[in-house]
Amino acid sequence: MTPVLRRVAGRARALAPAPTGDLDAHVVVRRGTWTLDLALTVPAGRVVAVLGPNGGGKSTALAALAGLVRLDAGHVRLGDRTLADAAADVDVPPERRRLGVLLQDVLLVPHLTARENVAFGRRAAGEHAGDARRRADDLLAALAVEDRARTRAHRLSGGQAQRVGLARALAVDPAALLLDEPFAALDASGRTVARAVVERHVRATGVPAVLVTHDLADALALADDVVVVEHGRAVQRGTAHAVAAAPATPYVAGLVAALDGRAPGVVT
Amino acid sequence: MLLVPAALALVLLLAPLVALVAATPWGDLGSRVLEPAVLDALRLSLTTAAVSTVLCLLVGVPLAWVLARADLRGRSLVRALVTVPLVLPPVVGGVALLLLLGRRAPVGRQLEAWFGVGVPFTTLAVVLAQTFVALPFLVLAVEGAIGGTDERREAAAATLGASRWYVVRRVTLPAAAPGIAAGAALCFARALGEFGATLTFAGSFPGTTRTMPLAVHLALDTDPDAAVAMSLLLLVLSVAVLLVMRGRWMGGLTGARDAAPAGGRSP
Repeated sequence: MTPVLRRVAGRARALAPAPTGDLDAHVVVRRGTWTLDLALTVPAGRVVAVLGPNGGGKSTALAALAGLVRLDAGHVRLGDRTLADAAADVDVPPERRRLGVLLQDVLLVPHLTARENVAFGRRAAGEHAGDARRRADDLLAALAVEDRARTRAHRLSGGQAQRVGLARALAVDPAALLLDEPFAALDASGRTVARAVVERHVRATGVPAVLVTHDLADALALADDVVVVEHGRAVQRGTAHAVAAAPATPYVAGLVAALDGRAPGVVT
Repeated sequence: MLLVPAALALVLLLAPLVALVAATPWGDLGSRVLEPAVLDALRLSLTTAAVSTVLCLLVGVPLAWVLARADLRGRSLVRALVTVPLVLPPVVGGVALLLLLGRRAPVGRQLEAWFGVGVPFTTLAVVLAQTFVALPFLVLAVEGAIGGTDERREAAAATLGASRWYVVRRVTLPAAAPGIAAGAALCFARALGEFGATLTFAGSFPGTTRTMPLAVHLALDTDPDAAVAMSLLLLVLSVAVLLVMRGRWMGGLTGARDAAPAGGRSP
């Protein structure tokens, strides 16, 4: 495995960006009679939105990519690294996957401040506290929550926690981004800011990004491609606009109708 | 209907303590408590109970973590074994310790051959007796505290590249801190009150093994007023432990943990 840490002469270790590449995954997870069976390819530097109703399997798919749920079959490959391969019994633990993960429940470390939460991954890799903190402050500022830097995570509002969670995922210079409903708790302006930060990060670093959402507007704003997942399976694939223009299922049609009704003209 | 037995329970618990306070020789309380023999016993009790508590933390917290988190076969068997000293009469614990570490016991004889001193009837024996009876309290309290923390938070921290040990240090243990503190306080109080195992395994030698409870028991025959004074001192110490436990740790930190979960869904 490639060494993820390099020694800087005479100083604490700094976290080097993780080697990235295309994300190629086929995740199969069985829970009793329910089965998630989803193939997903995300080219480096692209965003793929996984769209679908609650319980459809999109969060499970993301957890499987992150290594938090074990694959019953299939594989996860990122660039030339194999993160999981059920047939070969390969399952790299989450802490060695070098991914930027934001889960739906965010799950910050409650007794640490916002800044300490964002610096957490870099500190865990042995980076100097000052360097990790500077990076954290930059990200908090980019997401417009720098005024909460010293606030303990359990005192943050849902929207603030979500932005801190996003900053925490970006801070580790991940090889891929896995974001589960990253904008759900944000208001309109926070959402615009956060989407721009994610987009800039993906374009600048060239990492593949998976965006799990049930909001078509997120997909239209950010995603190159969309996969609609219902009952554990992909029921439609295509560009965001193509999917919005020709919904294949009542669920997607409902999303389009809701979007038109809510904010006509927001799609540009 | 239930109020009568409830009141009776309260009376059962409190009346003896009231009697103790009522019998206290307030006039010469100061001089009795400051007697060299009492101070010796108090110093010995406080230091051995503190050392036992530290020892319990050092080995008990890892054991509690294993019981709460590790993928362990026979977990309930281990937990049951940990609980045995909790329900065992302390004097039996003392006998058991003697049978392991006594001068004629295999392990004890070997230790004596190596180090030249036997364990029984030394201050070390006091610490071991206290640790034996107090450790289960700590392990069960800390296991509950660690088990009550959100495992998904640890998983989220792991995705950031944190090793298991780093997550334990920075996420799990701080979240369980109130429970660990409460367990340590309980452990300290239990060690402070230890009598049966100490008397059996360590004896009652002034200065080295005669802790406060042993001194109280001895004084009851020879100088009842001194026994009452020392008992009051132990009562005050126990209540102090309780106050510190409830006031600062239980109240303060569990309050913080129960506060709005980070990452709620509302904007």
